Amino acid sequence: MLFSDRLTEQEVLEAKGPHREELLDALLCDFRSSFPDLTFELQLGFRIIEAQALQLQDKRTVTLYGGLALHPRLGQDALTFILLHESGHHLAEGCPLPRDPSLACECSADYWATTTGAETLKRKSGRCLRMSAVISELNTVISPRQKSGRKYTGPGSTSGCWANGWPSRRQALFDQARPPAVPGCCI
Amino acid sequence: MGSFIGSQSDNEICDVLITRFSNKPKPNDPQGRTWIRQLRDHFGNENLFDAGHLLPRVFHRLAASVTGGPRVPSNSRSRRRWLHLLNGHLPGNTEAAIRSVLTAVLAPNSNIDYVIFSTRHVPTGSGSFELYPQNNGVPDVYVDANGKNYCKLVLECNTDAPLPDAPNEPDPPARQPGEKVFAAGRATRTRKVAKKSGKKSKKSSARKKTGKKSKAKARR
Repeated sequence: MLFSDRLTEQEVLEAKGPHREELLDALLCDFRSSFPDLTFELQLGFRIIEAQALQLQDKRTVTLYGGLALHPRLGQDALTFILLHESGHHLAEGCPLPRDPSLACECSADYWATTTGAETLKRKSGRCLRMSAVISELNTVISPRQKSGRKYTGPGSTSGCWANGWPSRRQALFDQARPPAVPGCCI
Repeated sequence: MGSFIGSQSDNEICDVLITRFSNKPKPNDPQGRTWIRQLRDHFGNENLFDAGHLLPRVFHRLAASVTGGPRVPSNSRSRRRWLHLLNGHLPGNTEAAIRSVLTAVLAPNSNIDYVIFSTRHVPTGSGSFELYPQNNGVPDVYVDANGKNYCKLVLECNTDAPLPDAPNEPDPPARQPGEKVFAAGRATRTRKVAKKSGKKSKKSSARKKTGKKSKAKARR
């Protein structure tokens, strides 16, 4: 997070409008009512292009930072998926995340987001997850940024986790692929 | 930390520290110790987190002991920015809290099995960097699914600005007096004892001269 990319002032200005604020308010309202055990925070004051799931003591938090919340190329579909994915870190069953065993791994979080999470969100708030729109929006944000992270996310990685690289992850999201069940195989 | 996008340099810093403080077996350790067990043994000989040890140098040594040499993060610009932050640019209370928590983690009577490292951006009470919770300097301990105790060390960043560039930051940080080699745990101390002991040295020389006998001994 210390080295995360940030939105430029210009990009923030592009995205900041009355409709964006309404969209974010409605989105967070739906998530809070659908997943009451989690705390959803919007940190617009930080322009990092990032979202985060973190459990500290008994508080399970999902934070959406300004760089993603106000990203001019991301709309409600991508933001819905991002919040579902981060919620999935807390609520999915599966391999623990090696960087934090209190959270589920990346591919378990993705699988939960596109299945249980999306169904719960639709049932409780009426909000639908449209995967084709999600992929289309995220393509513009994740692909170019993951190129710099080849050491961890490229084809040379030794992990069997399909969430290692965006192309395989994107395909798995479309297919609603089940995550690997072997502990330690995921990033 | 479950970051949606993540950054290479953040991941590298956290991963190398998580490995160094993990309860996974350390490859090629003659005593079959875990990473943290070996570090605890080392800590008994050298207090890495006393006031005399500079954090950038300690981080560099911890990272190199995992990678075998390559510096972390691999991007030199990020690395200098990171070392610069550790080099006296964290608030005093935050640095003290980091030293306090890691000292408690490595204490011989500690019941903490491993540590994970993370960061988050959040407004803090002090208006600057803080170690969660509120720089209290006490390990924040959790229990995993296997019943192991682990500590979360979360550095909270209050500001939205990127870490400043630091092209003049020493990289690697200069050696400090009194440093001991990480690989040198009990094994090296044993070797030193052996060298000092004339009797053992003679035995060693004798084995070299009589190769057949040594092989026979080995078979037994």
